[in-house]
Amino acid sequence: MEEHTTHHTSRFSRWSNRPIFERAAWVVGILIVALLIFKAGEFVGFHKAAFSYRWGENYYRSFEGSRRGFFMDLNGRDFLVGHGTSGSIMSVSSSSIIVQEQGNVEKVVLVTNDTLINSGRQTIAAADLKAGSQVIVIGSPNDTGQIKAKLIRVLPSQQQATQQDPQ
Amino acid sequence: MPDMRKVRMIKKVEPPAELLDSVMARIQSERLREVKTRFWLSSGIALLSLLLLVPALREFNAEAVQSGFSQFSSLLFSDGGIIGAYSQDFAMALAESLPAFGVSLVSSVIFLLLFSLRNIRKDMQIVFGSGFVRSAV
Repeated sequence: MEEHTTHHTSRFSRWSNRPIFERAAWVVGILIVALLIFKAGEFVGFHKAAFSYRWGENYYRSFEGSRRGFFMDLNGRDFLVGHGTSGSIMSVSSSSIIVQEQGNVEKVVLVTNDTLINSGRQTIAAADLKAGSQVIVIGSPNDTGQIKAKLIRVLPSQQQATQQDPQ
Repeated sequence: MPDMRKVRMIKKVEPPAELLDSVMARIQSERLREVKTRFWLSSGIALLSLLLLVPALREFNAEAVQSGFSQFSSLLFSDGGIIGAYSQDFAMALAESLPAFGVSLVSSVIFLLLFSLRNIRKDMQIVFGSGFVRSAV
């Protein structure tokens, strides 16, 4: 039995050592990696497109302005990032803030009791958020094209940064 | 049926003593010319890719700032300890904002640079040193 197994192992070994097998293995490996990259791109692209669609469809409701629709002007960008945003706070309400990104895209960020808001080395309350502050938000998109914030990092203003580092 | 008279004549012809040396020298000089051409071509490509690296990095940086990738990445330094709790959303934010064009551009230029540097390193000894005879043999 053992001899039989050894015989089979050596046959496989000889077969697998052939250059053609090596080349075929490389081709299959590259195909798998390419497929994985493609699937990852498809997954990410789907989420971006879905968020952009919901954001466009709810633009009127969110901002009380003119309806932009799905094919709104995104200032040359393809689709919006749904799991976060960064920019300056345009307005603050009791449960949400509106963040204006680079390229003048506004996003509604929902702030809940679970949202962690960090400024410097301190954790601050939602009431301490001020219009004009620069923030980075990580969160998850909802069905109405808003971002439910999980982490908000308030960046130091230019003046604060200068005071901290006089050089 | 070979013409045996001609075969006998060919057998009588003795090649000149220096023929082998001259043939080998010619082969060596042709190979050296080929290596030199590849060396200077690789040097040109390396220089070009070095020059291209600057605008490629600028493009990557502009795209990363525009998409928010650099801002999200900065959270690794400012909130590295707690970002693990939001790893899924953080990873998605990074993936969604990844400046794909900039990354491909920079990777391509770096690949070109490394490939040409590899050729330069391989050919340098032959072009400027005496390694050609050894490698030719």
